[in-house]
Amino acid sequence: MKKIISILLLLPLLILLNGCLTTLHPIFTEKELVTDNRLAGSWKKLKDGSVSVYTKANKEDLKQFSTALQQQVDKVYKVTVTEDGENRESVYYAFLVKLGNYYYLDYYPADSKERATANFFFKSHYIPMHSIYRIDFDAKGGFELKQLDGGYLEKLIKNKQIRIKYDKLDDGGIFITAPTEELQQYLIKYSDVPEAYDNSNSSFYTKIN
Amino acid sequence: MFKYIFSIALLMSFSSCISSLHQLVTYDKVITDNRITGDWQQNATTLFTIEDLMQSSFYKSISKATVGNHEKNTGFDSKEDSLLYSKSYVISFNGSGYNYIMIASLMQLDKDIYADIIPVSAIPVSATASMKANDLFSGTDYYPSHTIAKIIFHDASMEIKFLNGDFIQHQMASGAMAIKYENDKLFNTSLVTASTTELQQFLTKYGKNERLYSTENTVILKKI
Repeated sequence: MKKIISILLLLPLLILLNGCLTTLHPIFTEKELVTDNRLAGSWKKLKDGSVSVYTKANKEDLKQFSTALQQQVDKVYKVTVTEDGENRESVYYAFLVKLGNYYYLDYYPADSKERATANFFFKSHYIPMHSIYRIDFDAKGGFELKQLDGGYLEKLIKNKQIRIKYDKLDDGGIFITAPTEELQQYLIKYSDVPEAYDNSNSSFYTKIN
Repeated sequence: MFKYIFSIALLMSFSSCISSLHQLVTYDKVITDNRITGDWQQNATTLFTIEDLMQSSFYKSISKATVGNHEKNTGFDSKEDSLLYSKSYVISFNGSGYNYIMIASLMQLDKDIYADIIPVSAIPVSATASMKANDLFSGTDYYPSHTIAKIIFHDASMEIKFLNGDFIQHQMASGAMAIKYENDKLFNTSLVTASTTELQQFLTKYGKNERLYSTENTVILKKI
């Protein structure tokens, strides 16, 4: 039973870099955001049937952020993901960025209905993280989301094969605190390295509306 | 048995609590002070319960959820974790349809008592289709951080004085204080990344400075 306490306390920490690459800082500055008309609309994830609806964010959505980001409201997407067969929604902001030869999406959690009304003191303990994906549009009108593999970056750090800012956690895990510029350098340098992506979590999406 | 903690309205008035990536309290510094346990009231309508972790309803409830000898044997991640949490306290309170669980660990620095508070879970009081036990802040979207407060016990009340993030950031910007932290100006996110040792050194140096706290960041609780 003690393990459950550890799991409750440390689960986010344990999976932080074993799955998606999550970072404290964004992969973009306000000057680097782009839009792509292909992205707006409703998309079905082939793997699990979940539906993601991409819409443009509005000023009200962004009021918690800096003025610089609010001024880019036309380039910010809001994504609502509904799991197949469930009445539960996850809401994110999605920021599209072109780095080198590829487009990337930086997902940042937005308040769902439940999160918005959660106790402020409790909520203030949770630091929102940026989750990084590469997006490749295909000729058929769909796209593939390739999840950056946090475990690969952790391996590079532990083998001293890369210099990127991070903090070592008490359990030996890695918390990426690299600034935007370093994150961009990493994404560009490793963009064509297959191991940098978690292929088991790549997903194809088809447009449904 | 669980009551309710902190008034939402009061806590929302906090000017700026400061979040830390690392813990303040470690297994070799943790202390117990049973004056913290019991039912507490912040005003006529807000109640909360603080229990010894090992004796808490929360701990008993997760004990029931444990299945098989393997999990019992693996326990905490380490002996150090076990030592730390066996001397910690569970804070529970209700709000917005959830029962919130947090853990507080205490330590003494220069005769003052400090609490390191972390979130554990938000459990729906009555589960509905849109309120699942782990859907509030689970997964990799959020990282749970620590908040730090000085605790002052009085005869029948307790003051919880949280560190004033606005004051600390102002002092750091002017060079009057130094502590390692990350600030993302685009998303207005701040996180202290000082190590446990650095946090303890910071409080040893500045902990008695009353400006480190503020009225807005102080909660006074009455024992009931």
